[in-house]
Amino acid sequence: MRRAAAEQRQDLRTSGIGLRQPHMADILAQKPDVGFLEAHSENYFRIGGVPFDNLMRCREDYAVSLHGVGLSLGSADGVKEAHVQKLKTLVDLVDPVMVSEHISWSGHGTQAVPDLLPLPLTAEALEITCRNISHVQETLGRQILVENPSCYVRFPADDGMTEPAFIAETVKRTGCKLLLDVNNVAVSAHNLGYDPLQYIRALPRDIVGEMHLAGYQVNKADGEDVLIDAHNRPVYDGVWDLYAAALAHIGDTPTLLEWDSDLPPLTVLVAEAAKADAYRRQFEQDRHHVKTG
Amino acid sequence: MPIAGNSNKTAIMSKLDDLQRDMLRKLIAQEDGGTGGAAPEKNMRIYRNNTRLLLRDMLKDTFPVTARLVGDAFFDTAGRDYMQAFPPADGDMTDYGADFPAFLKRLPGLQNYLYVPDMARLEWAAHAAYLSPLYPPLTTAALSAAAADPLTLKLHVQPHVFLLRAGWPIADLWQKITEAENGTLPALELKAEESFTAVFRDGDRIAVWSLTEGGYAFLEYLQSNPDFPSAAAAAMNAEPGFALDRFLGLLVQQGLLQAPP
Repeated sequence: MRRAAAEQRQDLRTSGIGLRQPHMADILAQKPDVGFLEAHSENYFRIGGVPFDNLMRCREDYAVSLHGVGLSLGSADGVKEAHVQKLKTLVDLVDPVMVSEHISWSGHGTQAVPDLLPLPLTAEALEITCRNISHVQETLGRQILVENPSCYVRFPADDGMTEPAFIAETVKRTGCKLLLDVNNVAVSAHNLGYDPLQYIRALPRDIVGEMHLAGYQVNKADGEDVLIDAHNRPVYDGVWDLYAAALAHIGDTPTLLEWDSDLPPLTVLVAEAAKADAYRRQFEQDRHHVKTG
Repeated sequence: MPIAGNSNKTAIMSKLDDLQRDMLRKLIAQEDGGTGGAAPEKNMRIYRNNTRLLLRDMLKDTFPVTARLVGDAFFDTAGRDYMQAFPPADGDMTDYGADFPAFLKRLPGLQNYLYVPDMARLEWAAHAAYLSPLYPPLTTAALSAAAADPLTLKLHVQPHVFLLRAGWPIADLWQKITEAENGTLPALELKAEESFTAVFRDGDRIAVWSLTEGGYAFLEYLQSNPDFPSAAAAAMNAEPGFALDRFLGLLVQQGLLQAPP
């Protein structure tokens, strides 16, 4: 018996983990105590295939969130209709608790890359992204969340538009929500030289619907450290601090732990999610003290 | 150049379009240099590397045995050349690699190793089988009941069954390599001989069967036409004396035929 919508929303009070194929058997057998599972939508587009069948098995016990990586919401020539339709078919079958994508682009014309490329923070890019998001929301018949990107370069911006301003305006125009990837804030802030805390505090409090946490990798480029959004290790202490600051600014928010390469045993990922829950409980306690103190 | 009076929109709208066109071309061509005034330009190489490595890893996930046969260095180069010849068409990358077997077959470096592209064909079939649905299988009882009138019998093959005809014993080779311990390549004694292979889903796993020519002809016929008598004739024609009853029993036991709709 699949979990109903109200139950699914309740589940979000406990943090979730990214669902990856190598963990599938363990998740189905051990049913770890996590709030929800987040699946990369495109991996399940083939209805009835092995990954899809397993996702539907997971869905019997867990709330599932669908997180797309290939829709290319920032494409100047629009999103691919076939892709939106495949997503709609999947969403209708899975009945996910959340559907999310990225503020980025990955394709144009008849070519694409498996990456989340940054957009210039211009009025034009804003308009295009909003148009694409609205189209997807109308087709799916539901609100989506969009994730702030991790960036290695910055394009010249219009009138010094900042990323938080770009995001806030996107949410305002389309009625979507922000999936605040705290690790991405840390990665971009380091690479592009801004203050991550200031970035988070510049976001309107009520626009965030979910947060992501992950580990980055430190590479050298011409003798300088570049942070890579690799999702291949535990969350860094600095990112936990930023997460605590984000909770303080925004309030308790459904949270997900992502780990995509060099996957650890499932228990490690579950422990990271439990750590996020400890931060959330601490935040609730502190808030309670402030209220009653 | 936008026509005067056609509003600023045309000029502005083309900016993001130009940037994306240029950046995508450079990523796929692995060309140095920045795009759209991006700073710091040196970090553009991160995106270039991501493109190359992620697409290579995607191919490696789909073609692990092929990768072991040719070795890492050869596979890296082939992966890069393939990316440039057949870049992904959109963000659903499920079909990335569909042309890889044919691409390998044309590579000059593999002309003396033509079992490699055949192995790639087998692995692509395994990828497709993994992503195909399992329909309720035809049971022995249902087959017995239907077989009372064999002349009108229709048999539907499951959509996860893929057939391959190759010039090498690729099913044996695949088995040997996938079963080899700790990623070492076992000693291979290969001689060219025609082989017939079925690749299919066995629950959540992939199974590979060596067929005889009769079995191959039988399934190949059924995939385009469910008429049993004609498929049986095709099997007998391909392999006189083919043990059809036994083969049919194996197909039902393995669940490779669908229950009637």
